[in-house]
Amino acid sequence: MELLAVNTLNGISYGMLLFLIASGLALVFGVMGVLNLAHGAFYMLGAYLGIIATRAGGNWLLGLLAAGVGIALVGLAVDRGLLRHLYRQTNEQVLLTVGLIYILINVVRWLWAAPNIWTQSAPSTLSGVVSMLGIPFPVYRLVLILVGVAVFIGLWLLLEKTRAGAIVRAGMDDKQMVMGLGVNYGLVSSAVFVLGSAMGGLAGFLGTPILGATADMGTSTLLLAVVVTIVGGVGSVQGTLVGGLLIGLVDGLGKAYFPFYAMFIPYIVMIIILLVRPSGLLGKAQ
Amino acid sequence: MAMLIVVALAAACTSPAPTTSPQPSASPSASPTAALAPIKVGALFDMTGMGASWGAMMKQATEFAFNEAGGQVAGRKIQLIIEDTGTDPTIAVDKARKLLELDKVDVIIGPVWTNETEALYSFIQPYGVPFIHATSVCAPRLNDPQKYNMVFAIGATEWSRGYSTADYAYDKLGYRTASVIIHDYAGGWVPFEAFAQRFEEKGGKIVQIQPVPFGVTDWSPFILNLKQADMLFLGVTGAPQFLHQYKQLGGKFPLAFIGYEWMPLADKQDAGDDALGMITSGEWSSLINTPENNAFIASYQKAVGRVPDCWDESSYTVVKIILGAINSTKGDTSSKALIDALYKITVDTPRGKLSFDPGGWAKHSQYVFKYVKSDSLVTLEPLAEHPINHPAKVTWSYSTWQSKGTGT
Repeated sequence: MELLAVNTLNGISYGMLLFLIASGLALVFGVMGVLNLAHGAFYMLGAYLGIIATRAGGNWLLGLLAAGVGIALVGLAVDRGLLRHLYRQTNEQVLLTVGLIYILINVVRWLWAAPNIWTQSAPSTLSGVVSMLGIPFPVYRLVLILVGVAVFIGLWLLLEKTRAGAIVRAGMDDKQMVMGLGVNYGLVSSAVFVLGSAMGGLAGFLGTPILGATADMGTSTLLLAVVVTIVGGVGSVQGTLVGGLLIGLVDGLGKAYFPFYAMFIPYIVMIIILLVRPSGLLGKAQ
Repeated sequence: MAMLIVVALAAACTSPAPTTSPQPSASPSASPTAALAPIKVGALFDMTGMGASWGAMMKQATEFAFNEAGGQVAGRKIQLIIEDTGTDPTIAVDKARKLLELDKVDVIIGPVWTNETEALYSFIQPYGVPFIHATSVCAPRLNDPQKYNMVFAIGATEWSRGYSTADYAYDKLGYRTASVIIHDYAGGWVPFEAFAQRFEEKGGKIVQIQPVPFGVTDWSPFILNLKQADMLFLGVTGAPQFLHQYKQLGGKFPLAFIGYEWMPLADKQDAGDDALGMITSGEWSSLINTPENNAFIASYQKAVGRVPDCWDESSYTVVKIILGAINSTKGDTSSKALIDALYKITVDTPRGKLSFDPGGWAKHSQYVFKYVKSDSLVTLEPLAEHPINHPAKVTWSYSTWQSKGTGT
């Protein structure tokens, strides 16, 4: 029973990480209608930039800054430099982001191929273990849960309680009407893209004490982030949180109790949910 | 929503390029003109992907070895053609096709991942070109040595490593029960099956086996799930990540790690103190105190600027063997001449005098090592030396073990 409780907590902490990754993806998709598949590569790049900055400066917070700000700048460059030239061509924009994945992965392989997995410890203040029902559990994973909750509250407040958030939500419902009311929707989209990218980069670095960093980590995590977005429902931060927690739990418990099938279980769950609720658990019906 | 699903599925799918059956081409035979032509050595190294840590070292050591020989042998210059396999069997076969059909190489130095070598053995076999690689052989070679007589390997077999680990764990360390975490692919299963067979033969018991899908880097569910045992048998790549998490979560049992060559230099240092005390089975370390080994270490340090690791030494030894074979054929690089020579020669290497037995396995010692720190470098201390033990067959099976009711 203690083991089940600890495995559940483990799944929740992984689920929070998935929420952090997926929320950036879901925001961009909701506002721009673009599924930014390069988000996985931003996540990967954030991990590497964060580790490099931490090792160079000897400070974990420096790594966090590098991951967030660095990937925000990358997002800005991609949005202003590439995506805006395909205005209103959402299919082409998605294909462009696929190309970006391959470019970024191969650049990282070229620059930082060895060792294959870069390990990164949690900062010393967060690196101990606590005893959960007699089983040692890393403090960092508990902190990740708190960070996830804080980000969720922050996003919710931004979207529900600010004017900017109201514009974003209105744009998710009816972009044309928002533009008709004189809002500079291009600016809103860019701001959301930059925010979403930064969140992906931060998630990448925050995940390194658990997952390490590899050049290929973006593609496998991207897939799970897409599953989380689908399961939770597009256009809903609450949905992304619920989706993240569900997939994190299913993945963690699957690995603990059904290791042979663990890789398939999240996708089976996605299929079942889509059959029952095609718009996702908390998504708006289409 | 439909587009999301289509795109997600497309991102998940990989489709290897279709391959056609190889059309073997005759290898160049010795002739007065060919004697002046350069000898072409093809090398398939994992320069990117999961094997990148050791691909770079293999390239460095291979180039060092050829440079040490002056870039020539038996009056002919050597042309080294290195291709990157991306640690991917499909790419490895494509690159092998390029080396054999376009470059027409005389010999191929192979990569080291089991999934790659399994694909390559079958691909190269019709060409008959000698294929030599710096680590242990896997199942196809073991099961049909006559068909694969062009394949040479200078490591112990994976079986032998598993066997010797079981012997040492049971006899010297007194372990009677083992829990197991391995990556769910040939490189994890093949050495483990030999370990399990030997451990159970001696009277030990495997209490739990957790085969982990490739690509997992968060080990906590598997570590938390460990059942009580005297030791944990570990057979995973990306070991430093595992070791850090294992120690953080209590590090309950002593570790026996079957990945002797899976922890190249950078990974050993990354693992740091969390690797110390772990035992493993392999063929070489910089702490083996022999004149030939010490001479190699000194000259490598002088030329490259660091103490060599197992990947440096094994790649260097492979080149010494190739040079020895070409010297003995006096520059004849036809496949038949080279293969005959490889079975006959004895070569001076950092491992001592090395020759191949009729099965194509190198005859040299094997060791059980312990991870230690020496001059602030994590390295391997030899604990016990013994000959390489090639069992006739390994019959242990996971399904039989599960049906006995000891499984999870």
